[in-house]
Amino acid sequence: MRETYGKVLPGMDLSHVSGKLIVIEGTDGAGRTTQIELLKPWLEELGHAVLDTGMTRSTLAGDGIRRAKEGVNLGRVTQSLFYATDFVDRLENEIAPALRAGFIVLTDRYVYSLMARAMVRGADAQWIRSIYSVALKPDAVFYLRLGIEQLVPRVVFTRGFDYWESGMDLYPGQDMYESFCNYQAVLLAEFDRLSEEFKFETVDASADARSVFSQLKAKVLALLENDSRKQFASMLAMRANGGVMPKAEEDAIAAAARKLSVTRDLELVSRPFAARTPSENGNGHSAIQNLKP
Amino acid sequence: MSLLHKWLQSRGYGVVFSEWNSSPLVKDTTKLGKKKKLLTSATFSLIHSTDFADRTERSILPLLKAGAVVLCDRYMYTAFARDVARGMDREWVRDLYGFAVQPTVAFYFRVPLETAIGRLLDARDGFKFYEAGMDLGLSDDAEESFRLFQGRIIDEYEKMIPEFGLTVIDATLPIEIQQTRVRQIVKSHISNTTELRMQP
Repeated sequence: MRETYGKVLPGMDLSHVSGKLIVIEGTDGAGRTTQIELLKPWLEELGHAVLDTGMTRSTLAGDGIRRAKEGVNLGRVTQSLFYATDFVDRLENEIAPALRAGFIVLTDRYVYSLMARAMVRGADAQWIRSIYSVALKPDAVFYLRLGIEQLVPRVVFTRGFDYWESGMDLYPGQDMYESFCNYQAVLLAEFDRLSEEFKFETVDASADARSVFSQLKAKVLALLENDSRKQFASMLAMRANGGVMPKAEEDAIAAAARKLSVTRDLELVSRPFAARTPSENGNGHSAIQNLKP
Repeated sequence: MSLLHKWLQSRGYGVVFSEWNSSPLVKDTTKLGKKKKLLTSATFSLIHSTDFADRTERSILPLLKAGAVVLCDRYMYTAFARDVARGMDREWVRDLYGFAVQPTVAFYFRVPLETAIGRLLDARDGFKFYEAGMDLGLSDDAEESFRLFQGRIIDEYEKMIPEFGLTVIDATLPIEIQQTRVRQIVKSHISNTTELRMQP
């Protein structure tokens, strides 16, 4: 059963949300988009259906937010709520349906970035947490962490400073560089706090993109293996207890497990279970439970 | 509302009117959502709170600080009633509007459901999709859906009267009587506030 951070939206059925929700978080310029561009084809190559999503990509509010940010009269509360609208539209129409269909959802930022941005702008922590209490808890949050000293050259030599990324709405009297440094420093501190609270897995984003990708691949594989192991073990337990799982479902679980090589240790026990009847088998369930990581 | 506005102006008060769903930054998104039927209960709630936030930040709050009388045609209570009638969590919606300015006085013009339906049918040709709560699938018939949806909304308003101390005006009475009552109450509140007077 998938969980939320407290509240459940009307019509949001949490009982068959079998896909994986993987969040890539980090400040501006930490390389999130690059990593998602690398992770997606790699996961597809492994045979997974993948949906990637990110902020302001909703059909409902994406264009409205971009238009509102063209000017400089977007207030702090309005900004937070516009982004919340965009997030919930994607949650209901993209993320949840994809997870229900068994997809891996890779999301470029999640509610944590939205909370961090709101809080450095003075939002009440309880207020913003209450809004995002409807968010689904992800399976993993990989936090690409980059210090200010490494972030500045990345921004300077790529897209340059931008009004909102520099937090000019917060530091209007400063030049864009000063404002950028101040804004990103407070954002980083907020991310570090959220990282503790929501148990992010931190990845050092100062290394080159390939090396960050290798670290992420290892973490994603561990997550998928763990999940596959659990499914495979529960399939064996069901068999051992005389239960019948639809053949297509069994085949899918076995194929995924073989692909991720998680069957090696479990196959040893699967053979005797397959040969025995439930009555011969005794308490097969607890035997399987012991195999869980 | 229009009569109150004119009366306050005639007495020299700086009066500003703020209408529900009118933020220049947000209203196009709301329109798009309604036209293409993209809105769910949650995004309906959020986009209206975004509109209200923009009006609060850019208009209502600065004007109040300047000493103006701000008249709002609908306020957060409209959202509380509609969004909860659409299935949103009561506490979540109240938290969402935690940024709203507490009004000096909030009037609730109460009419029985049948009177409301009759007035709306007289004034226009049918109901709009979201206005009738057609998104909830209560009934395929717009009028029946409107009836069921508005029934839920009225229930929510009734609960809010003691919760927020709403001032109830019997909207079945003649307009002149309603207006006299409203003016008396407004007068008792604004006499003690900082006033922004109209320039002669």
